[in-house]
Amino acid sequence: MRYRKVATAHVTGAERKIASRFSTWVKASCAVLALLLLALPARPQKAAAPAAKPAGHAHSSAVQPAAAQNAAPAQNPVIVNCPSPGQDLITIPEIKRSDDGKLRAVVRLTDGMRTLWGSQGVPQTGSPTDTRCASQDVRYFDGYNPSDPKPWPNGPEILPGPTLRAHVGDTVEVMFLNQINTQHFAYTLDQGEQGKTPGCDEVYASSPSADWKASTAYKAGDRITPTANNPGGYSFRARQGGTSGATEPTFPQAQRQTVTDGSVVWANTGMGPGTSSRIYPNGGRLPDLMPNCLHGSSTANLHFHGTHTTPNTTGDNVLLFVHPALRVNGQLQPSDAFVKRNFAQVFAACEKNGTPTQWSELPLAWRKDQERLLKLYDSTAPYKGVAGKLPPDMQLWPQNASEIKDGLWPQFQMGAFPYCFKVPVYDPAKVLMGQAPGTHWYHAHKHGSTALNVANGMTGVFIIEGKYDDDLHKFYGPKLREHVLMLQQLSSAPFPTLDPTLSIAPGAARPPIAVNGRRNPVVTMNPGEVQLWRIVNGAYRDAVQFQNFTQQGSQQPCSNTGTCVDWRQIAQDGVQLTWQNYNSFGAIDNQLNLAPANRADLLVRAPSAPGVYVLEALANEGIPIQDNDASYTFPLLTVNVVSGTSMGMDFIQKESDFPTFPVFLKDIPNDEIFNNRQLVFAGNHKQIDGASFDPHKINQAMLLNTSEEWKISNQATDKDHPFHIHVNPFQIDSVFAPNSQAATTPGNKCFVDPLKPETWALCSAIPPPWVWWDTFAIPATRTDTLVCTQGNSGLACPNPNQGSSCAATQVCTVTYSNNLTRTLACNQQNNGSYTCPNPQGTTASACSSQQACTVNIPGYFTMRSRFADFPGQYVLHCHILIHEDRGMMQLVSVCPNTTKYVHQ
Amino acid sequence: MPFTWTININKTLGTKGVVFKPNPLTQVAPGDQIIWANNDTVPHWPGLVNEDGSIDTTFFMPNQIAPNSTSPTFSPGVAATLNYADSLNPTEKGSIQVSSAT
Repeated sequence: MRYRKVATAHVTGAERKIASRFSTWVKASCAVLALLLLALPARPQKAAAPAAKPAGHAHSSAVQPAAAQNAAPAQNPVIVNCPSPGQDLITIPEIKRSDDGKLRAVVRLTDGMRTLWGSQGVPQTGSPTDTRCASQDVRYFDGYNPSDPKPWPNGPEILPGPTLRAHVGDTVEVMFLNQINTQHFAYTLDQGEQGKTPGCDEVYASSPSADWKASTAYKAGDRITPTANNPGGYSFRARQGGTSGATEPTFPQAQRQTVTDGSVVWANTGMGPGTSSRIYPNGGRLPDLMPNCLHGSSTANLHFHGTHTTPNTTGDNVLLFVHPALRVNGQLQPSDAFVKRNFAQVFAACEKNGTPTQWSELPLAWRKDQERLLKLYDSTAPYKGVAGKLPPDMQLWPQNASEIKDGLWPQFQMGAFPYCFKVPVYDPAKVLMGQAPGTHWYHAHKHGSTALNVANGMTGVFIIEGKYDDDLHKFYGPKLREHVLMLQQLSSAPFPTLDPTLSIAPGAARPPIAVNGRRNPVVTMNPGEVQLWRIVNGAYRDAVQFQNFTQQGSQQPCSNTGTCVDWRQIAQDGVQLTWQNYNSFGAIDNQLNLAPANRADLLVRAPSAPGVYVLEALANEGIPIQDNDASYTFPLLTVNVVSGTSMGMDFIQKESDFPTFPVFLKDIPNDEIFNNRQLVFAGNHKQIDGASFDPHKINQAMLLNTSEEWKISNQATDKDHPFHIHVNPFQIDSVFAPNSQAATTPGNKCFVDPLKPETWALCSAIPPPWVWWDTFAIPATRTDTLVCTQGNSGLACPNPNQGSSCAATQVCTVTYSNNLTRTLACNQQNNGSYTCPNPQGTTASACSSQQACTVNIPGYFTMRSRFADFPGQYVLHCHILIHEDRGMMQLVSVCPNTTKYVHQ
Repeated sequence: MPFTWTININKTLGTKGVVFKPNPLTQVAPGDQIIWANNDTVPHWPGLVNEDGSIDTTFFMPNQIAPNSTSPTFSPGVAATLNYADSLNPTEKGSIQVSSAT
């Protein structure tokens, strides 16, 4: 199977200008766009600055022959002492715009040994914390300003990539280099070049052997764990098959010793290996298949969250696959010098003419070299261990050639890509919307590897300054200090196991959350100081709720006492709040829950006296907590208020001092809604609207420069899927959360009664003005179990399922160590009996047969969005990135709303 | 989170055999991930050595590892000493020590 785009469905396009006074022509089809460019002033070509000396770890690169190598002399992890908590917050290196209105940055994808933590246990489940730390080879971003190259920090931490700082109206020019040494990463290919699978990573795992059973048939080779008479805890293997006896034998306690049990002969295996099976991809009704499966590729690209720009060509184009540069005789191809020379031409043309619309606009030398390298890859990449045997449908160049022939932008790039786009100033003559100034971010977005990309740390903050910043500095002056905080959940392998019944229970244990590469780092503040914190939740799976500050050593929140650190939120997802929302949403110490990809700007105020304060946070998969393995509290960071004279700063108190809200982000009114849609995110964590991602299919087509309202619901009972759509932000105008306290409290006016479907709806609307988001967690489905009752015509479920007959249901209840209970499906065995699963840290009940009726009440939200200014193809998806990788993604297309055709 | 370990299968210079490196692989905890990388020019197939010396060929992986290729991931779920041998050449042996990380 080949992850192949349908060439004719792909769109090339460009940044465009709306003004109809310019003659434009557009074919009637959404598939082909030819659009005017944002006019950019020409500027003199600047001499290229010398390249920064690559920092990090020098790896041997003597790789022969050229192209991707599968054999992997990877460095093994080195178990090291864990970094001590309480170290200072690391300032992420920053690349600033130049005064001529250009953000010029080199972002390099590289690899090296970096320190990772073991798993964070989840107390409710009894899942253990892995206390090890290891230096492990991971892929990560570094970067530099080409005009002022500086070495990247070479510490043990995995930092996010460079913070980019542009200004509204700038042209963004990012020289993206993929220079991963693929030799360091075994089994991490794109397409199953090894020929064993269609390309999904495969995981086999051992688990404890099944318990011994009396009078049971066993075949030779079966393994069991005795339930008694086995003080050493050994497992045993049937050296001779047969039927076990009625009572458990006394098991020998030395390896290789045997005991006869009925007609079975058991042998002590020593430290038992357990039994083994494939756990990923697992089969079942909906198996993971390419391209919707986890595969740890070294291919990447960049997705820019929050930039108002084109999704096409060199814009926010996530349909690209930027492969690692090839290594020929130890030399990178394309070389840095060659990339720099060619991209200088690309960027110069982009500054002059806007984002390119056609591949042919790139320098001929670059295009020819890309063709050469793709062909070199195709002719040398090993397939089933033999170089040069890639089947035609797995080769990259033929696909590119086909796309180029059809006038499309080719997807496959080798070693480098020139991202170039403008973040537009609002000008009603040119654009419907401008770029919102605020805290945005970027990350790698290779479908199937996005979770791994982001878990490895391939993220970065992208700040776009504008009037928001001018207004803040006007009020606070130069004393307003700023911190950029990237929350990360770092791991070299984010998806060890997806089967929660296995004893290693990875569904519970997961990577801890770090801030700028460190756990619980220390932020220093002066007494009475207010700082601006720009926060990005770059975790690949967990939401993080900011709960409250406590004084160090105290368990009690000290919020808003005048002697504590307090915050007020002033922006969400890169868009500032209105004054009204600053006073509600942004009220003092209002707990905020950042789903993966959410951002928040906080004004943080230190008390006037010195002290040490801890920000308590809750890692979660949705609030209220749906699943007892889903949350744990932890100290996110510590604020050290040093001694000194109080700076006397305070939160903004007057509307006239608050940043002016951008006029182009006024609420989308009812009469602007052109169309309505409904989307359903599945309970299986892999589908939207009942289907997995199909690279050949456009799921939603919107008309350019129209507004729509979408109702997006969630069938999952255990997670709030974070909905994210690229390119345009959206406003949440209603939220139905059936698991909320109000909805589950009888007597509350917002109580959702499982017996009264008419109550399964919004209780109250969100008053305008509405907050803008680019990611919003969809409230989970609520499940209520109703009692099946005996009626005149037999057993029946009560309303709302009246009339349906009740089914006998096998239910297991497990009790965790803290007395939390959870209902699990009872498993029917081959012999017809039922057994309960027994997750680690629980005691299992016996199965009982009972009559049960279940009612599911999906949560949902409605949002409004303007599909403004930029036609093209892009995606929406769940931002729990494992879900995206497994298929919870759709292609959308914004179609042109004008045509060149005439009528005379 | 789990750490990712690689056992290289390297040709032994001057012989037809190979050596597993590192051997033994230690410090592995349940839930970690292990991959064999076959850097040789012929296939290999690590299988679990049972207590009686027989080899459970498909315990770690369902198929042999092609030359210049890597195995699927194996994730030990329980603490154990996993003795393995190349099913295609049983004299080539190695072991993995899996112990609790807590």
